Amino acid sequence: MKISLKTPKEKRRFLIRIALVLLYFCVTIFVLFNGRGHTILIDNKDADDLSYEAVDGMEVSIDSQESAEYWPGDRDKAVVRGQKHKIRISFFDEEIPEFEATFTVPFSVDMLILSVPKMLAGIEPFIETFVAPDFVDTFEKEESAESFDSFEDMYDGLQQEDYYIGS
Amino acid sequence: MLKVKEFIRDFGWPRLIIFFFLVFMFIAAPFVGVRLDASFSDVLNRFGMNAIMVLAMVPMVQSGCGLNFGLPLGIISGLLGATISIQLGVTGFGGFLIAVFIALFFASILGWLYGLLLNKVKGEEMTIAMYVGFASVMFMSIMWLVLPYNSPNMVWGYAGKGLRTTITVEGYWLRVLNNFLAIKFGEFFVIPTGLLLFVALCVLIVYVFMRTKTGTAMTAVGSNPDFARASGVSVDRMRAISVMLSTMLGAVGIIVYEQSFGFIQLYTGPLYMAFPAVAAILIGGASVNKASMLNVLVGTFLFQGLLTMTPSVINSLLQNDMSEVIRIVVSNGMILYALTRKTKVSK
Amino acid sequence: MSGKNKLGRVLADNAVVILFILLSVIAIPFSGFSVQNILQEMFTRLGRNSFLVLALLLPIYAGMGLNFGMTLGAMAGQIGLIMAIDWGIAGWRGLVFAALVGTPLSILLGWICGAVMNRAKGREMVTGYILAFFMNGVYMFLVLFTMGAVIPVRSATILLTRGYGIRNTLNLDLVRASLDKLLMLRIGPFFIPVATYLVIAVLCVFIVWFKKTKLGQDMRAVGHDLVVADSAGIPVERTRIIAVVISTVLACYGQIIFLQNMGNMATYNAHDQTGFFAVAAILVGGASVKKASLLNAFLGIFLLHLMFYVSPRAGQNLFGSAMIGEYFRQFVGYGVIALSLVLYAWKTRRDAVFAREVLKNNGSSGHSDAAKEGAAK
Repeated sequence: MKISLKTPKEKRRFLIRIALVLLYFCVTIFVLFNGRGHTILIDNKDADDLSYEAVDGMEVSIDSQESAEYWPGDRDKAVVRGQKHKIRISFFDEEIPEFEATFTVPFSVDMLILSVPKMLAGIEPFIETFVAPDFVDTFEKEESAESFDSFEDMYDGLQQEDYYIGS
Repeated sequence: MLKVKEFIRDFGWPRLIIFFFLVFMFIAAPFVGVRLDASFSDVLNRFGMNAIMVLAMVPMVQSGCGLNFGLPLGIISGLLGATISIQLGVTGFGGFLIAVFIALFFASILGWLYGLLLNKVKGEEMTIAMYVGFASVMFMSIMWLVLPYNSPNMVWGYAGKGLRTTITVEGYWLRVLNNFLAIKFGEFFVIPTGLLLFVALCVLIVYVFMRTKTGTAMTAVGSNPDFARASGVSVDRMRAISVMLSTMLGAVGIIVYEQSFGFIQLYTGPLYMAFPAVAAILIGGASVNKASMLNVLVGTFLFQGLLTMTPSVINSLLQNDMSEVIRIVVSNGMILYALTRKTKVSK
Repeated sequence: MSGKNKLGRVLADNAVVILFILLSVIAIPFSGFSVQNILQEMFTRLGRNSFLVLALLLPIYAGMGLNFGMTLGAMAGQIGLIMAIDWGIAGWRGLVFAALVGTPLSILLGWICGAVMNRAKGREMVTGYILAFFMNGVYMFLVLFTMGAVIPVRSATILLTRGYGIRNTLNLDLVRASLDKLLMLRIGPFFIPVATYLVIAVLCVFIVWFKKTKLGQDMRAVGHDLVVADSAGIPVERTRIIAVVISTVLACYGQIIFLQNMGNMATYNAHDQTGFFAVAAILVGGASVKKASLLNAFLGIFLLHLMFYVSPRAGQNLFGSAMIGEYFRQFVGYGVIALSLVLYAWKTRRDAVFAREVLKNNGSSGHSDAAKEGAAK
């Protein structure tokens, strides 16, 4: 396409096109970051070396989601969108004032673990990437038993089944 | 050089690519551990199985009705013939012939009606043919469930009625053509003489028919309707005859296919069977309004060769099942190429 | 023209609609569904399918018939959704992301489709149909062999266990019903997805507005007569390509809306029936190859899906086999497309013959209207 900017009409059209392309990228980036889902595991456990202790009863809510109760040793999850989040903790022990903080999660991580005791004790980092190799493995194995990768696999699978029935 | 260019333009580069691809595959086969003699025997067999259905394209193309996407109509006639023959319980060559005759009977009626319909919609034949074909397949699917068949080899065991999705022809007329005078070379190479002879017979019949008075009139209708009308040929009648002939060939074609394949596939089985046949004749060099016997033979051989060779060679070469993708792209690409080619004679 | 003749003409012109209403009226009591149940299903299905059906309108205006090539747009939408799921983008933002990824893809595909159709004038429909098959092969190649191998895919859960290629069914939990739930209104016993309806309404407004623009007028002129439009200085080929591009992009969005409502996606089959359903719907609504309106689209969706919803159950209750109903509805779907195409082709010829006769008699007053109509076609 030849772009000439001689007449005002052509100039306007060119500007509109540039604006549209820019808008396209802006919106894409916005939904990419803003819509990105993360699973946060909220953890209330003692440290192995007892450098920090679990909170004895609290209610935690992230952003404006419904709050959940935690006792020592509890772990629950919250699914959030975007990277910047607010956490609000109210303690069952009414003498301790409510705690509020904001934190950011890395864009590329799907699932992460947030330790409330660590956060309260000011130990960095209180957010860690969560990988559960065992869990993922068993999950995949179960799934692959049902959904075959290709027609050939399915065919093999069926033949094996026949074989087992036959023997 | 100019001559080469002209040849490429006339023959079309997609056909050349497919041709060289096939040659490459035959050359590559021994190196990846695919037996050449077994594959070649396979190609011959599949050539025989499919050739008549490809042949069924010729009359309609010649009379200007376009590519016969309505082939399923002929196929269901063939299925009717095959199932009734099994219901009657005639085995061997007799069973095959009975199937063919019954199929021809249904195909001539359906084909004639179909021809009358297509006469009402000149210019839109292909799209309408496709949907008439689809609709007839779905209609017959209901019929397979409710028609009073009761041969225990064909109906569902527990209900005692309604035909199965696949019916074996074993014990009736399995491979009656293939085994007729079959010549065996070694363990893997078999020439299905009877099958090839039958195909040759059908091709000969169509070839001779196209040279009779009716046949030439049909071609005249296809290439120049106004001229044909002026010289006193009934355009509508010729077109209807061509459609009827195409449908009848399709009916015979599917029975020949089944006796070799071993199974009758009912219900939605015939839904997309027109497309490989259409692709084959186009690969053989036919266009939307011109097709010859040579196109049929070359096209079927090339296309079936491609279908046989790609899975074995590509799979052992690349370690994946890409052949399905290649089949889809090649066959539809070929149809697309033919549809978009600027044709000299407008419809 | 006598009154009886006129009535016959009206009946013939609306044969498909009348046939469908009759079929539904017969099938509904046998299905055993309650009216409330059926209405709720219709509300859902209107939201699910309208966008796809409306995508067919512009190519009809441009005289290119029913755009079976819309499947290309559906594929682009699916690639967008795969990307959204892969990146874990949740909610309506995931849908917007999918649409944004799908837009350039579908513009490209639509442009290809338009260019191919320009080389096959007079048989656009069958060409579009085959092109959709062809692109299905390309789509399979992209999604089954290059995703995870050449195109990076970050989450292993959507890949096949062999390490590349997307799974046969993709779970759309992240974006499931996110557009429908954005603004779900409860009226009496019915749940109405208002946000989806709003999006569809915006599209309707766009189409009505577009018809009035210069480009829209050109498009109708091209649809009316290629040669006349060309001599009037309208860039015929370009206008036709634009019509197909817009249709393809709309089909992309339509497929995303369709799939978010369904909640999961058959990666390699979800687009197979897209064109069939949309085309059948608009034809059932009384549209033809050359003429279609918003009303045709909505009426058609309602009638076709009413039929599709009740017939398996009616078949079960009438014949004791759900398969009969299943085959029956597919037969009706394909049959309706064939029938409308036949009726249209037949009507065009009839009008042409009629117009010729009128011209011969040099037009007595009562015939002039019909003659104009006939000549226009």
